[in-house]
Amino acid sequence: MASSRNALGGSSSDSGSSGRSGSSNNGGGHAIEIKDLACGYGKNQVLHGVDFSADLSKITAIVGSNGSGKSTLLKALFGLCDVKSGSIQALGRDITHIPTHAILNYGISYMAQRKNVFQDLTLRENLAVVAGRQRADRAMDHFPELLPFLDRPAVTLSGGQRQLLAMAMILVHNPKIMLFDEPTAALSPKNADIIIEKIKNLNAEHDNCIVLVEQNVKYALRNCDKVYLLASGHVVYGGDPEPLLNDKDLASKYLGM
Amino acid sequence: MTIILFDGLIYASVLAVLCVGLSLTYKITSVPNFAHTSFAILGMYMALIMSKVLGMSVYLALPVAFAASGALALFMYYGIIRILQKKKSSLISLIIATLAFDMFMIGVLNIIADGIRNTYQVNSRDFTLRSLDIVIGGDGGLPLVFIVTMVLLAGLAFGLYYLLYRTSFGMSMRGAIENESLAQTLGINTRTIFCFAWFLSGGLAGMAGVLMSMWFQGDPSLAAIMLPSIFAGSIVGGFSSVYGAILGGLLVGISEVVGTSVLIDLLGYWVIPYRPVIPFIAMIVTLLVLPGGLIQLITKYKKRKNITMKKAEEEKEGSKEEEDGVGA
Repeated sequence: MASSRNALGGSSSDSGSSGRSGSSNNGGGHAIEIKDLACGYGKNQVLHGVDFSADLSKITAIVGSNGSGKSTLLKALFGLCDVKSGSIQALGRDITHIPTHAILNYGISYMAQRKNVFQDLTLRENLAVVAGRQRADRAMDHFPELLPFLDRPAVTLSGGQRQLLAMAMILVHNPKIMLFDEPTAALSPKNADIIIEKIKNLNAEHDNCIVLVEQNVKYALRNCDKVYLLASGHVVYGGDPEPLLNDKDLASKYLGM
Repeated sequence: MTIILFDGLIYASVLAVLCVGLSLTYKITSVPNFAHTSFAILGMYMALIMSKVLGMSVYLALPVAFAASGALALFMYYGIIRILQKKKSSLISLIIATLAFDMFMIGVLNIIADGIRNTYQVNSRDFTLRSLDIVIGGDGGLPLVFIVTMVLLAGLAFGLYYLLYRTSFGMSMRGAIENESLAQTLGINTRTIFCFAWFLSGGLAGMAGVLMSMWFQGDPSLAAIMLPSIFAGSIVGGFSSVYGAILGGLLVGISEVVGTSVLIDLLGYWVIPYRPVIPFIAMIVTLLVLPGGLIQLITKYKKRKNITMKKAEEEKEGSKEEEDGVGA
């Protein structure tokens, strides 16, 4: 079992979680397993020797200050940055160097923080792009609140509605692993709650592995089973959210809490 | 008068087809392709080879030119543009690369022209295949090339609409043009889409070249002569819109032919060499008055409407939240 560097002392077991129900692995291993990952963009290396794992039926949050490498870690999982060394396994298969457009076939979906829908396309067209025209309508079953806007361009939607559409788009392929990059960014508290509730419901209903990058730390810790704290491209904590919340030094040093 | 009508409509339609291709590749790569006319001239020589060398119907050159010019455009995209973009070359470098490819192609087309003349004793410079065309209704009747050109333009306008707005592939294409990285994260193979668009753009130019050779004179130098007209058409319509390109191409083409004819009547034949001034004037006026082209008039209205709808939606959400807050 992989272990991650734990600033609270030694290593923390990846199996430790806050006790949400459901199976926690994929045939004995983790749904996602990253070992000694170094990656970045061109010559700029962002992550240095990162170990990370996440399991099915669990929500794993990645937190840290701006520039700590949270989003890069998520992008690395989806082939969106240059991996220099290390390995990435998803559902038991090596995806370290798989191109982005092919990663969906491995049961992984990614929702970007911004510009995550095609603004000029209508909602129906946005869904048809990822699902084909027939499946587009069925995808809306999970998002009845969007039904009145199907033939409107996505640019006319509010921030919350746009995030829901982005979720509908990545759900179309029934992914086993879903990666969310700050899904509540720039949303009102009420809309943020709706989005997080949707994510939790998905997790409960489909036993997916969800990895969530979140700027709002308290929000993330309240809703996840496991958390990774990143600083300057290194993992400084990986494990249950409770100890991180209670460690005042770590929380104030890295999270400004 | 009839000749001017045919001249104007055929030239304008061919120009519109060429403008569509130029705008399509510009939308995808954000690079104005200065070698676009060379795809059309290759089509012209395909028509010459098929008809005068191989003795076949000149209309059979349409699919051949589509394939040959499409393949050339694909080669240009894959062999030059994509490599330079991967190396993060600047826009200026990319533009110069397209100019260099244009010069290279003019050289190749001159070699082809000389090769045809020397090997088959066929006139391959300032040639026209008009005499090979079928005229419906006898002398003074309707030339087939006129009908084919109109059908091609109408088919292109309808076909593009169907492709872009009624098929998943076309919607993916619009999505990939708007946001390539998002398209990739959603599993869309943008490479296939961009290759298709470049092939289509080159293929259409090749077909336009075949039709040009059946009414006007063909020569390798035409690649440089027609370039300002194509750019003018795309700019007048709106450089990043394929429908704007059709509109702009038609307007510039008709202005060129009719404008020159009117000026000849007024001032005499000495004005003919100054014909390229017309597209330049159209280009300058558009850039000064309506930089986004004619299509800007429509997009401006649409944008305003979209902003109003978005604001209404956000206000509705805001008031709902306030109500909930009061309720709580």
